[in-house]
Amino acid sequence: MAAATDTAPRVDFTTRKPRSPLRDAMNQLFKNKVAIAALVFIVLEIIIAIPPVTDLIAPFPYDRTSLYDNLAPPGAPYTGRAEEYQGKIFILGADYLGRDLLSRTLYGAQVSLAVGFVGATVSLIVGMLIGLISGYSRPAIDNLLMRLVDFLYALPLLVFIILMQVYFKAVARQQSSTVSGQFVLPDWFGWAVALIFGVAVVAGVMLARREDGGGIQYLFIFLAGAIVLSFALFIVLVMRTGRSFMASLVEIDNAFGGMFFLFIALGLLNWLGMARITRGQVLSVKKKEFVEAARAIGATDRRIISQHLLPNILGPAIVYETLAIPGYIFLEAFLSFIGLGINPPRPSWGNMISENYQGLRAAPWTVLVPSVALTLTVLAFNFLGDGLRDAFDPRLRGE
Amino acid sequence: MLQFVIRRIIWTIPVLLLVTFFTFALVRAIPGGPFDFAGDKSLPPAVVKNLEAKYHLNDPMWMQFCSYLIGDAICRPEGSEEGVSSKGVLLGDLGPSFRYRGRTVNDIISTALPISMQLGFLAMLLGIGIGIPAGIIAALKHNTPLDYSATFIAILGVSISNVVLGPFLIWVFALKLGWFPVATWKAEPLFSNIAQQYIAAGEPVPMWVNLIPKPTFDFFHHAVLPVVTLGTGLSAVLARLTRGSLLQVIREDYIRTARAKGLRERAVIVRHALKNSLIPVVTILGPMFAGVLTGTFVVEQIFAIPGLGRHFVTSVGNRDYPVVLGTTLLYAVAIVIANMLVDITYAWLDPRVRLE
Repeated sequence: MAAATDTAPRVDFTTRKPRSPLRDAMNQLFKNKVAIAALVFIVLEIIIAIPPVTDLIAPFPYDRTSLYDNLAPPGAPYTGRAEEYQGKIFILGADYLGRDLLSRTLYGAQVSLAVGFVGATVSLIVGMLIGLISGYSRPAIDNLLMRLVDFLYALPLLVFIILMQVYFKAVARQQSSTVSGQFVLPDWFGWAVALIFGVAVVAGVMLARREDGGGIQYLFIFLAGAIVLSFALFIVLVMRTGRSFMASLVEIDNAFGGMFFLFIALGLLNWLGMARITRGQVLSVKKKEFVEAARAIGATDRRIISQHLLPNILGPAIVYETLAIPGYIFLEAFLSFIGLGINPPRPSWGNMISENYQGLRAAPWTVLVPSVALTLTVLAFNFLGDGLRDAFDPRLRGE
Repeated sequence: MLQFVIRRIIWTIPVLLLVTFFTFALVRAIPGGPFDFAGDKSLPPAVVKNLEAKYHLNDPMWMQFCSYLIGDAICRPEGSEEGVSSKGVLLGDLGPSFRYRGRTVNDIISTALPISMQLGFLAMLLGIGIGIPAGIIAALKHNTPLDYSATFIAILGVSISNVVLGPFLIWVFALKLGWFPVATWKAEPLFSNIAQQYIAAGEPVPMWVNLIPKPTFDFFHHAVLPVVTLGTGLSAVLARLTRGSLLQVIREDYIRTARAKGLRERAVIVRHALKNSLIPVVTILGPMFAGVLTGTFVVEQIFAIPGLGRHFVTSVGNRDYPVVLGTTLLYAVAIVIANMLVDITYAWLDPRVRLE
């Protein structure tokens, strides 16, 4: 009897590294050339959009006007007087105020990417939280939350986003007229934020890779914590100068060039689809045998949610959010187009198009450059999203 | 089924009430008032005070809301003869505009809404007319060059924002080639003699008369670019959805069964596959309708079309409370009705939904 067990092939189930659905999908994704090309494009764009890198790459500051060079065609040399720009050329031309289009387009990437990622992150976190609670808790709570979602679904969301943007802009104008003197961030603030995020990423990755069942969710939780902590630090700093809470929010908004309130409007209203999807997934996953098995061996709710539900839900959630990013980018472009987005002179692709399209006849490149940037970025997100969807759902492969 | 429909209709009432309340509160919370400026100059305080009294802006908030909702006669017993009075939203009176002197919100809507509706309707027609057939063809010719090119065009179509496509089309087709006019909307009512009668009698032309355009060359000539701008995205979304859903359905067992029992391919596709694959397409028509509404905001801005979206954007900037409220409410009603129709259609197509 003892001999039989010795000769039997030993399969050690306990030490084999668990393969998460996420890792499976990533392996699939790397076989999809178009999606990887899109991913590379997006990563390059993100690197370019990191503020110090943009400052380094962009040939001109985004608000540097040169009246000698207004509507300069692509490739025209700088003819202004300023010493430091002598010999530079406007690679993609200049707009009606002689501002370099290439530089402005590069800075515009900051806005579009920030809006896309913040919109996606907020909607991912809020939507998943609501969806999890709704799907996992008692029917009464589930009903309440889903009626709330139904109700918000029936609202004309864009109309409310416009109203909220008008509200925020008006409050910002009011506050900036009452508060005298500009608020300047201390030098160490950037380093402090970098430190907070560094610690969050390192800790998150370490926890996520832990052998005894970590999980990518820790990374998300830590990142969310880092975001909240950075904002708290900012608000404390501003309020110490004697400003009210609303005024410090306005200061944040100024620091973000008018993006912060856009984030709030986006975040408050765009988690609905995510919540519905998460709830649906929870309802279907929690009836699966492996969850039942986990419960049978006495796993707590917390463990079931973090170890069994979340990893299985995260896939569809990420796919959904990747495909939703173009929507956020479009929304920002539209709001900036009607003058309710980014505060000029900060460039966003939307306000670049709206500023320049009156001069479409004389200088079409002024509109074409931001248009191409916007379209390529959104195209990349769509290709990546399609690739991710195929990777997470093998049934759809090749469609 | 009847019970489902009734329940669905009752559910819309609290939604619309809360929309009214939220908008009412939010608009009034925005700093700045409707009478801050007249043109570029600011008005003297005494004039502002009189204007505010005229439009009852000094009354307590609950009284303003009440009289907006159910009319001055009930909520403002005394003093309702002074100033401007309204019959209330429930009776269809959206009140006077603060900024367009002498015009009511109903007037503004009855001239602007038909234009937006024509634009939206034509765009949806274009979207459905191109998107669904393209999706079906791509799915039936799966993994052929035709499929690949359709898929590529569709993903390009969903990636081009209206903000980009509008100026681009103007540049190519209006400025370079000169085929189409740059902007504006030219719609004459089809029943122009009826409209003439109303104008001759000095009464406002009812909305339905403005709604149906006379199919003149001028109308379509002006409509092409804005409609294509709005419709391209829609058709791309629909094509992708139809293709995916049809591909999924074609692999189902019952399709194999239908083929196995010797049905002609045509019958299999049309009777069995298509009918089921269009269910998800129907469900997206609701959100798509909302998308068309918001799309009209952009397109009307780009092509200088005097529709409702343009009025909304300008009146928010002007703090023209009744116009903002009226248009928001109208959008809400439209979206609520569209969602309701979609839900009912869905329940009719898929009996499982009714029981939930």
